[in-house]
Amino acid sequence: MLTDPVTLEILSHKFSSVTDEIGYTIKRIAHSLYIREAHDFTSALVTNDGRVFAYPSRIGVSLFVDQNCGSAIKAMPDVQPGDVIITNHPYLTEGMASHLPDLHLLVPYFHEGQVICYGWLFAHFSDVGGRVPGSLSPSNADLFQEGLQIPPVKLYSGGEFVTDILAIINCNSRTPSSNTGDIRAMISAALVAQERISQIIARYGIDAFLQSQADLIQYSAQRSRDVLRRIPDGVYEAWDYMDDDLLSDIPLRLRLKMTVSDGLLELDFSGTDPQTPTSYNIPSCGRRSHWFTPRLMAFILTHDRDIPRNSGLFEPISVVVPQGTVLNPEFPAAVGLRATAATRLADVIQEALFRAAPDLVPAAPCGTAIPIVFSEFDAATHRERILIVQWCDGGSGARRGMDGIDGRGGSNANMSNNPIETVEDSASVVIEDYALRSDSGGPGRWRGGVGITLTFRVLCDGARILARNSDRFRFAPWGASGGRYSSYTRTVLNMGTTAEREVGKIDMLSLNKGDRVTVMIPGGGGYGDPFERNPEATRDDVARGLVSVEGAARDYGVVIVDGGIDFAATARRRAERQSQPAGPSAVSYDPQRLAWESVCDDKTMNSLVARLENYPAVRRWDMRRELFAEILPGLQGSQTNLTFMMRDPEPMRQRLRRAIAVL
Amino acid sequence: MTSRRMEGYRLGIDVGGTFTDIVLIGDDGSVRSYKEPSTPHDPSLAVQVGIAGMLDRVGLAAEQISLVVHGTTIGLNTIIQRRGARTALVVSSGNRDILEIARLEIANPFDMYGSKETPLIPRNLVFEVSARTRVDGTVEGAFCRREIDDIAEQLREQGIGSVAVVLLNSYRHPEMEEKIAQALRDSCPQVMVSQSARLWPEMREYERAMITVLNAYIHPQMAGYFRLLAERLRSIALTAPVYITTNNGGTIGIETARNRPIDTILSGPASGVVASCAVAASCGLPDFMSVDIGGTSSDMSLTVGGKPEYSTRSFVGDFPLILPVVNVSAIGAGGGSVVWIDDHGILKVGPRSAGAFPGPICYGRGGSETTVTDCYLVLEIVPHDFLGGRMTLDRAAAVRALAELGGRLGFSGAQAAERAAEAALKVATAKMATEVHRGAAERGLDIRDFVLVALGGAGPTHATLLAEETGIRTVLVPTSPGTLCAMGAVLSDLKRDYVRSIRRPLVPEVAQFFAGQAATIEAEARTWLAQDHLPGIETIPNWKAEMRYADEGIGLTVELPRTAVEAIDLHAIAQAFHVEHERIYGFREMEATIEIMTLHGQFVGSFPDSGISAPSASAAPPQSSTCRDIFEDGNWSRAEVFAREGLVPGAVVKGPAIVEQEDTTTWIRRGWHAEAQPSGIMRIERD
Repeated sequence: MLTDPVTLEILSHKFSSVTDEIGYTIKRIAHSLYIREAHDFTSALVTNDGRVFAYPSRIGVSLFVDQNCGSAIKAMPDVQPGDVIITNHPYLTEGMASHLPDLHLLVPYFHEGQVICYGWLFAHFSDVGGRVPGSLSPSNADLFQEGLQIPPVKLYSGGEFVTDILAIINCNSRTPSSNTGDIRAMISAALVAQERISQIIARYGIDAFLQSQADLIQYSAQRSRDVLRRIPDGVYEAWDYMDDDLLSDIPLRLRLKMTVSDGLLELDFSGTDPQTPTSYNIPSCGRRSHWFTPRLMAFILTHDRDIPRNSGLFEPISVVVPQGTVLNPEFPAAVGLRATAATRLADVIQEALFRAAPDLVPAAPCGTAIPIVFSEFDAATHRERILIVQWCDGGSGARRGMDGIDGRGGSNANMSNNPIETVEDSASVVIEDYALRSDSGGPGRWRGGVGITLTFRVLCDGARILARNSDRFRFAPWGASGGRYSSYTRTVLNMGTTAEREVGKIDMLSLNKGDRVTVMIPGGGGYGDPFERNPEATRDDVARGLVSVEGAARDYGVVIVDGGIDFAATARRRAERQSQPAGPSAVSYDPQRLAWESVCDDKTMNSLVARLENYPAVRRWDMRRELFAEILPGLQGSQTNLTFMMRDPEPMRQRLRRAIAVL
Repeated sequence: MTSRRMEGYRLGIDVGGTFTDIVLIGDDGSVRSYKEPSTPHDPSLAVQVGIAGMLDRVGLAAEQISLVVHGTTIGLNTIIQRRGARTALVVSSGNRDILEIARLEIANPFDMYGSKETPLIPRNLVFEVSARTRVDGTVEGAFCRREIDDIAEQLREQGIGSVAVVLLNSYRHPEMEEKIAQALRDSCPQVMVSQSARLWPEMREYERAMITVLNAYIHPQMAGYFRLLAERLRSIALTAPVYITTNNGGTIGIETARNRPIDTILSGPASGVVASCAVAASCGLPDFMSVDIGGTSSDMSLTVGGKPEYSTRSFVGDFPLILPVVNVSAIGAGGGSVVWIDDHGILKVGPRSAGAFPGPICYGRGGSETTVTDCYLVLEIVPHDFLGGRMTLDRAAAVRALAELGGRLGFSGAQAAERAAEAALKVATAKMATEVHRGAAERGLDIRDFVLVALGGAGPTHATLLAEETGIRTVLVPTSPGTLCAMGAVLSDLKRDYVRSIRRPLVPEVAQFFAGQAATIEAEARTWLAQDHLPGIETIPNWKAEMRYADEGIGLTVELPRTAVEAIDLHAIAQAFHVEHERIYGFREMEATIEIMTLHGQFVGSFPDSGISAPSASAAPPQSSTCRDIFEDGNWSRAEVFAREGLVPGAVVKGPAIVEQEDTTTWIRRGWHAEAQPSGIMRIERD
């Protein structure tokens, strides 16, 4: 590093402050709810080769530090002062834009006629056209159904709007006026930054300004690698499943082989399932996508929390992503709901990290965050009224020395829920129960955080709910180091009545007056042997209603009588258990997953993926679906009881292997 | 403000952790201040002793005191240190996890080891009642006597001293909450009951519950404190009315404060801003940033047009607070912040603090970590004897520590310590400036248009550095920057806030509903004024509403003309919103439906003008100065050193210079000059 250690620290704060100022300015003058309320936007300063060297600390989306603007910058080599580049194209920007509603701007900043860095800004726009209002749907079959595609072009040239481009964008949107307002807000914000940058250069000099960009990235890279060196060298494998891909009932597998060598990580995603004709694909173009690394960023920042947020954090990480998979789809695969796959991928990465460094990594979090969308017909306006009844989040995983968080922290999204009073004032529902879900945390010496249960009653006829993106109905979050898996997502209609019905994964459900819907979100996995949990802690869990008396006896071997511990009975019960103690890096999976893998084991599935690679990417999904339809015809919906269906796995597995061999 | 003078003397009191500050203002506007060591085990003792001592020194009889205004952080400390009452919570059925689930947020979603805040009330002390009020007022499930009896028995068994009652939809239909609270009062007379709709009837059950729970948590302790305070003041024959400072920069009567201690918890910083307003106003400067740099942290507050800014999104420890409070935000390092070098050789300041004990190295009390205060001392900015000579600082030890740090930063030779100290102050200043710029950007303000009012023990020391970094051209140093809260207390108006959730489109059909809600606020305010009012003070309502266009998410708070509310002039209300929306967001939508979300009424009664005057100039000794070398911008240079009390109005001091007084040291850097104002305030400008 060439910048002196005082100037580097000062410039680190100044650069981050510039990005915060951009963010606050956007938020203050933007029009749309995505920006002003959901904060689905951000800004950063990037080097001339497209690497983030400063990122906001207080405002906007915190997930996208690992952004690479290199391809988009290269696509527009000839830039002048007053130019602004716009794009939303996932494939032409090699994953910088990762779905079409995110409009990205790149703004070159100049000093004496030379480009000295870029501002990168993105915001989620309400609508960019396509098949459905809002542009996003899991059932969009390809990118053309997802809206207007904008390659990198100049939106602003020499300080003037290129009105033709703006006209095309507006003509393709269902919400043109708010889009225009948001674009103007972003450009105003970017111009504020040019002034700030000039002030910094005037004070510290152009040499320090340029040199410190590289030095800050290097500084973060060194600190990041120091953290990653705590992971022992070796090869670690992990995989996990999304329940299905919406169009077929086959679990969708994401697979990772992580090779660690002296703080350098290679993530090899070979063995991951083929891309889907739904919108769950993550467009990476084979590069390290910012959707691959949030859980690694969490790991790094957990163990060294003040590293400056810039691309240096990820420098020690490289990837291998086979083409034609969910993690590297080919154009024009749809990508709108890539965040759903990224949620599961985060669990896979966490499992590989856990296997490598069990003392440093918690068990799995709930792994699903479900917005329950409610729609009713408004007689006054003759329009459908739509709102989110609740964001349902679950618990987080336990770690060595600490229980998971109850009812929160299950995702990195950090969204807020809706007050019951606001919901009841806006929709014809009564929220009858919104509570922690007892016995839903994975048992462990340190208990997984429990999930949430939500029950609401509908007060009108002809209502509907949608709960897309929901997952973990089929496979539960895993437990760690002898701690156990947690629980499944459940949705139940009219629970506790004669009309009770398990609904399973909800795409759309029609409801009438008096119907009650209950949604149960899993907790996080447990950590350590639950029979070694301090009985007093379990007694407190029972007193607080987080573990039932039966659960205490069954899962923890703690016998509770009248709220107190029966120590003698507890000692007997704990001594009776006949199982082997689990190793420190043992992972506990749920029975459904074990049943599934008794037929579809890792080796078999790897061979299937390898066989399919001989065919064009667009054919693989169909071939896979036909194969499973023939071998496992009973596989229907997330309610399928896999343990029952696969009670005699060997013949099924043989049939599957034979079918794969002749593909 | 009325210009009428008040008969008799006024006392302002601020109970802090270390000192209890007392300010006495005469009917001629003269000001005297006094510091009494605090008695944390029994805080009102120091108040009694301090007042008695002051009256004795000045030769006044207690009957000559006509008003006592008292500020305290006891409530806040009780929450932060978790020393409150054993508290229970009663909620609607299905809502027992309101404190566990909160709004789903956690402090840092990227921390794999993160946890959520521990609720003030554990889950097994949360009780559900089956009667449930719907948003339209329908009650499902009836009031059940047996449930109340069961809860009452639990409260007795568990030794509960205070209970919060928060039922769903009570912000609009408080009847069931009233009924249940009353039943609990009847069954357990020893338990104090806090009710959500009485405290703050705003929609959003979690935030309303937090107000209620926090109030309940400090209720027994604060009520006890206020009772004892009143007794002790009576015991020294002080019979003047006693007012308590509040979060909104106002005051309420001590009886009201006993039932609503929640209104007092953030009053300390609010009083500081109120006093800053007076300081800036006396110089004719309505737009200012007050910066309070204390031992462990620094805070700032922005004031535009002489009116303090309010926030309804503040935090008390781990918990959100939606009551209107004077907006104060942290901007980083304070005097005790630790200066260190990380594993990669980069110089860092904070966030850890050496605290008051052992404190900086130079305190010589066993502190081994270099702090910002050590840097001031090494540069010879602060004198070697501190607090008016009550404490001697060890500069040699600070020099040794900073020379060692300097060596690791690549500084060598005779000035390694000084250069390291200067570098650390630069880093600390850059961090503060970063936060100041963020705050300004959030509000769309240009900070260069503001003046800086420097408060706290280190505020005046650091002020010209921070002003240079942020482009500010004027700095004001009050007469007594370290005891401004007690002064702010005396200057505070009588003030209370009221709220109603409306959530209706602004159309003629809602006019009656709107009028009804405004009328209930007025009725509530009248009841309060009947209790807390001083005769002869006029009280004015200020109305505000949170409104939005129907398709927007966040509302915008707009001041409403009083006449528009009294006459229910919907057109004028809409117009006020359009204008403000255009000012903030740059556009208005004349065709769109406007929704009125929340109505706020603030009732303000001004105490008669205190007519505070300067410490009489004739009493001041003639100006005199000494010299010492200070290290500034890489060199030792000769600075004149003045005693603050020696600066008579009109005296001009050119930087580099140091002005010393008991509670702070002002550093006037090269390129700046200061002029003592007739009010005693020191005004520092760029040359």
